Parts: sequence; C-alpha cells; structure tokens
Amino acid sequence: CTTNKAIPPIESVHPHQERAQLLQQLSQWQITGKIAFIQSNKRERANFHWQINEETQQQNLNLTSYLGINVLQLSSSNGHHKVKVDGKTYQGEDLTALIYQLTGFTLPTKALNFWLKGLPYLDSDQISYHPETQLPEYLLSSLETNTNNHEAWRIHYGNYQAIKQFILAKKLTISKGDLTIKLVIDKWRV
Amino acid sequence: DTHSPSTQALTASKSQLMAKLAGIKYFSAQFSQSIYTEEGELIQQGAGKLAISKPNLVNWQTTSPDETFIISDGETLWFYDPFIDQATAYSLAKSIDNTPILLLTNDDISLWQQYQVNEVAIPKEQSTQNDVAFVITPKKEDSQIKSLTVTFNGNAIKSFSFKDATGQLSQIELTQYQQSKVPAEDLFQFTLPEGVRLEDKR
Repeated sequence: CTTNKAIPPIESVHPHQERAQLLQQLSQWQITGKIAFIQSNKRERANFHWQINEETQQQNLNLTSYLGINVLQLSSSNGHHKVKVDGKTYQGEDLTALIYQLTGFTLPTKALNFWLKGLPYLDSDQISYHPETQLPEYLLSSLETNTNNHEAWRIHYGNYQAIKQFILAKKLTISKGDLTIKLVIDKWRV
Repeated sequence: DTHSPSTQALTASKSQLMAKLAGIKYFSAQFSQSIYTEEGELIQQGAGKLAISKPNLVNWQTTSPDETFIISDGETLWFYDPFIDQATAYSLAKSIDNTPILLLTNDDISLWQQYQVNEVAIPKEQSTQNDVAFVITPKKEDSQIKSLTVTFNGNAIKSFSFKDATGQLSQIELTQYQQSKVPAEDLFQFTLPEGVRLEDKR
C-alpha cells in the first residue's frame, strides 16, 4: 500500500561510490592476457600472468613471448621486488624504475593495481563514467614516473564483464604521450 | 666431447631420432599449448595449427588466445603479431637457437652436432603402445632453450615440449596429425600486410 506521507529520501550511496566500496573487497586476484607497449620507434608484446595479494603485498608476474619463452619474471613481497630477465636477477624497492631500467618500458605496477579495477590511484586521478552503464570509461592521472615523458596518463576501459560480484574491464588502452600500452585480459580470477 | 661410456648410446639415440625425423618429409596438425612455470603452475593456454615441410619451412599459427603467426620461408623467420600490427624478420640461421620447432624441419648432420640426444622412458600413465620420446639438449651453454622433448607414436609426432632458461615448460600436444597431404606452398610464404610495421632484425 502506498502512503501519501513523503518518505524522506534514503541517503542513496552514489553508484560510483558503491562500486568503489565493493571493489575494496577485491584484494586477491589473478589475471592472464596480453600486453603491448607501442611507441613511435618500438613495439613489443608479451603474454602475462599476474597474481596479486594486496593484503600480504605479495605478487608474481610472468611475461612470456608468444613462443612460450619467459622474458621477465617478477616476485614481490612486502615492498621488496626481485626481477629475473635473461637469467640475471635484479632486486629493488622501486619496481617501476626497475622494469624501466630492464625493458625500457614504463609500467606503473602499483598504480595499475587500482587502475585495473577502474579505481583512482592518486587522489587527483579523475574518472569519467559511461552515461548508460555508469562504469568507468576514462581515467586521467598526472602520476609522475622517472622517465622524461611528463604527459598525463589517459586510460580507456572497455569489454566489461561480470566476474563474481564484480564488474571488471577486460580491455584497457593506456596512453601517456607517445607511449601506448594495450592490455587485454583473457581471464580474471578473483 | 668426453668419451663417456654412454657416448655410443648417445649416438644410438641420436641416429634413432634422426631416422624417425628422416621419415617425415612434411606434416600438418592442430596443436594445443600449455605453459607451466618451473613450480608447475599453469600460466597460459593456447591452440592453433602447424604445418612443416623440409627443409626449414614452418607455419605455426596460434588461433587462441589470439592470432599470431610464425612463418619460415626457408630463409627468413617471420613473426607477425596483429595485436601490435608488427612483423619481425629474423635470419633463419640465427634463429634455430630459440625456435626449437625449426630443429624438426632439418636433417642436416652438422646442425645436429650441436645437440645431444637421449631416449627417455615415458611415464606409464602417459604412454600408449609404441610411444618413444627423445630429449634434445643444446651443447651450447647460453641457449635460450634448455631442452626439447619430442614424443613419437610410431613414426608420427605425438607431442613436443621445451624448457627455457627459467625452467618454464611449454607443452604442445598435436592432434589431427597427417603426413600424407603436401602442405600448400603459400603456407610458407609471408607478405607484409598493408599498414603493418616491419622490424627487420636480419
């Protein structure tokens, strides 16, 4: 039955905050897919298997060429990173610098933990949402990295899919000046 | 080459492998590929089709998780990757080291001098009647591929796998294997598609 008394509007949590709160639960996940680094003079592609436990700060990343040969192996635990490339092992605290030094490519892994889920990493990161789906469509970040490329990061999200209780993008196009990173996730495991 | 007592045995395995390979002028098959870390964790799966014709002609096309092409026209080894709209060209001679499949296309004795061959027993549950497996190990220390294992069922190749320097294992199972029909010639030719960037490493 309807009452004519105006019911005070329940303070409705904005769908964007609701999604962000839900994603806080997603701290252990594993993704498999392919990543491409495209710059004016160089293009490289690898298949990746990335497994993260944000609570224990533990992660493993395997980059494999399409022949099946490993090109980079990363294992991290509580802020310390070990990267194996061409049979040599490198260690460090700043993973983005380590990966840049070894591959020449910029991969902000810490920020990616958030950006992959469509969440801001810096407070200043701005997200614009798709009018119908209300899911993140673009993210803009002024995250500085140690390269001389000071352009902003611009991410486009696509190919959303429901994975358990989460709705996650399976295609990210990340650009920063003349660098474009294409990330296609074949499988999210949460 | 040290004169260990098993040297005689090695050459026996090698000549047995080469006899089997000599019997294969060409073949085509579907394949499924699984990649495991050294700890045995499955990190990637894929599938595709493979055609080989001697000497040195290969067409290795993955169809899942996405399309990539590895084509040897006998002189150049082409890696075409639509995901980045790029094709990379390597000289065939320089690529044998990190493209183990090329070994299966070549009976040249001098090439095989650089490899050691051992016949290995196949675990009971995996082997069917008259399966035989050979492990091929490069004598060169710094090769990207640590070992290549080829398993035959009779004279047909049933599967092969290779281990890289990190111990990562790529396992390839062949199905619909056939050795009777000559693979089409254009399978082993590559023309750079429109708008695709060429990375020439020859």
